[in-house]
Amino acid sequence: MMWFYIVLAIAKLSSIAINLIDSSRGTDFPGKLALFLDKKFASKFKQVDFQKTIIVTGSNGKSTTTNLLYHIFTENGVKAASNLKGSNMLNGVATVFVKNTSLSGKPKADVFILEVDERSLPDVLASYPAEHVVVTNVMQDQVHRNGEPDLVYSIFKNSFNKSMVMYLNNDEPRSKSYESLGRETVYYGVEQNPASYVKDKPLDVTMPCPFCRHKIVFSFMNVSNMGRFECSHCGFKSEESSVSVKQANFDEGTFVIGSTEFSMPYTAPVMLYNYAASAAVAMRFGLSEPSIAKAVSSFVNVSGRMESLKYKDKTLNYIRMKQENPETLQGALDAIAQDKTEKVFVIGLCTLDERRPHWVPHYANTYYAYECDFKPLLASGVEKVIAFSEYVCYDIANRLLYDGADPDKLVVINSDEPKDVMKAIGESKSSTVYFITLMRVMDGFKAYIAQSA
Amino acid sequence: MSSSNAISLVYLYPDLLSLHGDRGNIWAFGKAAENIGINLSVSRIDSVERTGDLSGFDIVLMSPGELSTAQYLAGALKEHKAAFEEHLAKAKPMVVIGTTIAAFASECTRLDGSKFSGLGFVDASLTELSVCYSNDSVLACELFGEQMEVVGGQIQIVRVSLGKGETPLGINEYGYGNDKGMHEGILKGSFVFTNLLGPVFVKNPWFAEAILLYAARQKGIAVEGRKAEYELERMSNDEIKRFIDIKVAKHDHSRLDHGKN
Repeated sequence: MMWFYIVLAIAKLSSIAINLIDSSRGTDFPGKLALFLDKKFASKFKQVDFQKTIIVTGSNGKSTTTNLLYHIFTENGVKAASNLKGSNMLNGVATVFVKNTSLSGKPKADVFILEVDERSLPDVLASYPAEHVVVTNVMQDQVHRNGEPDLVYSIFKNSFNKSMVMYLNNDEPRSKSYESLGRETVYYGVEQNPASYVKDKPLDVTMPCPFCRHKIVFSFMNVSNMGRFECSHCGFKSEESSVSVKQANFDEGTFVIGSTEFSMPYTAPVMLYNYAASAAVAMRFGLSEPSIAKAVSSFVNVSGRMESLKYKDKTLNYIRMKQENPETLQGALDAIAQDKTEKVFVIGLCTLDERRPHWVPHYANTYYAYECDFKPLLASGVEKVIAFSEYVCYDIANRLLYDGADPDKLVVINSDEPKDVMKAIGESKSSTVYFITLMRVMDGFKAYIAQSA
Repeated sequence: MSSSNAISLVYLYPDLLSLHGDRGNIWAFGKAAENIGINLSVSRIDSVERTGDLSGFDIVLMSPGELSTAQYLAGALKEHKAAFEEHLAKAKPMVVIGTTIAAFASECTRLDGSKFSGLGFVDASLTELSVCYSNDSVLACELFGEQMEVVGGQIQIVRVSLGKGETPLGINEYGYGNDKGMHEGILKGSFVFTNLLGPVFVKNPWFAEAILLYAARQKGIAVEGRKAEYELERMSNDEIKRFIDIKVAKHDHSRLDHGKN
């Protein structure tokens, strides 16, 4: 064990040094360094109580749920430690323990809340056998490396075991299907609400049942492929949720769990699942509904997907999306469609990043846009639609035309240069601009706007 | 348009086979049909149990799904094999995209070493890859008498090895193709298989046109001249090819090994 203590001390020193350089950055370097020096470093924190360790994993909503859960615990006087800045593979998780233990490896937190990348789950569990596991959902995501949802689905299935308390999304079939794998299952879900909808257009699709591969039928969806469901063949279906968000009122910004009214700090329908999941865990850890509600009301989402920027007389509302992830794209489109005022809509889906060539292939994928519905947005009062991105702008334009975009309002820009796009935005009348693109691309726009100011 | 110009397309099991925005292909068939004066009707069948008689349809289209779904279909479709055989015996087009080919191939080997048999419509063996291969693709082919270039992409989780008697759909000019070799897809009579995504018929409406024209010929429908030249799609594909050229010139040769199994 002596080598472990030496490595822990070195990793702590590196953490302090990084913090001195830039405390705002999330980094996995201390954990990475420790694991380089001692391959079994992660599994040597013998004093950590895994009965009080929570893993949050799944395709979408991990960061927000982790942040919210951390906020609920800390607001209620529970000392929590977490990887809030998103370093969610083994190195990042190891960093949480480097930072939140003493030199002898003794925990300095009451609970550990770990956001874990789906494919890293087996490695993380091997070192940190958390007894509480939250599965947000298992959806189409990062197809360039996952290929199909079944890959992550199988990784999860092979990782869960009978020592675990599983917090499963009762409205998402793949998540719900893990119900027999844990020691105990806590179902969370969201009841039908004003934002719920039915997919009934001729080419609307759902998904195959994870058990029998027949069609899953949703009586309503709250967000894409999440809602009250039943398999058309084997009877697998949503249950009564242990923790259910009901009476959601988006105008008032309220919902009810149990007998307590909650205020929603964020009103996007998908947030209801983050509230439900976090409340389910917090209640299992003994917090009361009113104390959870009080904490939720003051939550600020540092991993939020929307921000506003000023550019001349325009307000640019930037909505972040994940590449190759139709659910986050659809969520962004739905959010914009709620605003019925005249607006400019800007979308740049981009080729896949080549900055990490050994991990991410560099190719053009806009296919997932065909899983989304642009019609409500296009019918919500759009003065101009700007489709940009070098190489794939024509593909984006074609997608918009298939959903009825007016060719006279469509501007196609074969560039990722902010000056080209901002020029087209500047030529519009509307002061409201909605902008969907990748964060790395938006960083360039932010720099351009700051320079212009 | 008169009903004598009618072509019917059946879209099989879209809820089970929908991974990469593939419903866009149906819209693309509609656009291509309009362009050549064909009155296209589209039906969907949502479950294998409801497959029934396919004789009322001129084109069968199946999108890519998860490999486990293809495995399920390989077993479940045995009961309906005759309906597909009858369709193909009448030289009506049947289009299968991506991993779904496993349901119609000879055999598929999963990563865990287990194997399952398909319906055996084509002599091809599939092997599940341990690493997903994603890249752009360019195919040169002649389909039902029409020479064309098809640009799309691949998110490949299987290697497709053709038996000696099988003919590829075309030459793989860039991308993984069936097995990182020269060949992409399969063309066997009126059975068309491609690995390409995009959705492939959205990005290449002339590909859909060739299938519609062939189906029309089989029904004795005379087709008018084409109206549009698909300027937007051609610009898109030119851009993707420019993108590929830059990748290849810079460093992408090595990346073709990304999906090495």
